[in-house]
Amino acid sequence: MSTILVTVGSTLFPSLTDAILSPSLISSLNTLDVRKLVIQYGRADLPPDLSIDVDANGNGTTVIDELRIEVMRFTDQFEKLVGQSDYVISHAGSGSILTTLRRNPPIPLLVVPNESLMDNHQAELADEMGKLGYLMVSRVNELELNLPKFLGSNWKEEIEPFPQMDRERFKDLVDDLMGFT
Amino acid sequence: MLVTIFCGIATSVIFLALRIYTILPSRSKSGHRSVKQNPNSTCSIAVFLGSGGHTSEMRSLVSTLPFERYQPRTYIYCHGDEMSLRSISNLESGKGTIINESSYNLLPLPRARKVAEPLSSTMISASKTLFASLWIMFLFPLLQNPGRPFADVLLINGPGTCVVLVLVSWIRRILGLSHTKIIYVESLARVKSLSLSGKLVRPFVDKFIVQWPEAGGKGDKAAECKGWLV
Repeated sequence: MSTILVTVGSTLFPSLTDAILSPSLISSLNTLDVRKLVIQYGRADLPPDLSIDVDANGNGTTVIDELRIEVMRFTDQFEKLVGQSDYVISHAGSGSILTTLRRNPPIPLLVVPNESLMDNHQAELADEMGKLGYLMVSRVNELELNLPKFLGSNWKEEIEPFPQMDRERFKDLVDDLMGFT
Repeated sequence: MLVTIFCGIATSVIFLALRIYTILPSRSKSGHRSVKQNPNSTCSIAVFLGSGGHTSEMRSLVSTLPFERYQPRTYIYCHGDEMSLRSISNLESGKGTIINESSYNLLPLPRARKVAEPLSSTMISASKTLFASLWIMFLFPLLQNPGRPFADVLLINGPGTCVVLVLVSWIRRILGLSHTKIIYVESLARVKSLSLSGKLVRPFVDKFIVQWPEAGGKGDKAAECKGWLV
């Protein structure tokens, strides 16, 4: 029994939310023993064939088979949502990546870069962090293939521990410039 | 007559360009070192919150600074950017040491360029931003206290609007008045190359920092990198 959080931050990334909410992926999540799916879908619209009623803020809930789906357009409780999840699937924004990996212990993270962005430097960040073993990267069209591995226990054991933020570095740089060293 | 005007303009442009060239931070022989400060003195700081990922990185950078030293703090953000406003109140309340209410203030600016905005309307919104920042960062502080810049140090990390802030901060520098020092921190998301704002402001800032060594180029021209800062 597990909970997955899907987040696109403040971006427009319908291909990710459409893929996650497609009937075939929902049925494989059901098979993989996922019982709750929380989706923060940002500036995109939800797929029209998904029968879900959303309120004025774009929040709504539905149940498909044994999977409870909660959707929201935006949230100001992101850190709390991450803390309540067993797995996070995210766009390649550095904010979402850092919030998820800096949890103690880090939460398994699957990053899906948005390939429709013109200057797609965010994919570089995801790929680099994937190479370092902190997270898993998947393209949108490979999600269905990669999800069983991502949710499986073997991969979880291979995740590299993520370094904590060094709070002296930036302070030292500013102090140095301003003459405080 | 026309020739005289033309020559006048051309001469001023040449002198201005020479002036700017001679005071570029990268040419300064003393490096970036400042006059040593008393550890108990304070330093006024301005922080630009550029929205979205820029704001969240800036928030975590600023959270590492000792607020008793870096004050008063001025937060510059774009009109209607709720997320940046929330980050500011988060930052300021998170420290738990608010001695007085006046230790920080807020400066909203019109946004220089919205995502995917066409060039013509970018020009209009950028000039609105320019005039607003001219007033709040240069003219108004000049009328209040001509001897001091609006802040001792300005922190920026993109996006586009920060170029305007650099431009305005440079007026006092060109005039030879005491001026704001500028620190630019490239986003963690920039692994192999610089952002457009980064490329534009690089020659004009006192400290230019990248978070991945490869992003800042190689050899003598490499940008300062101390690893991840956020």
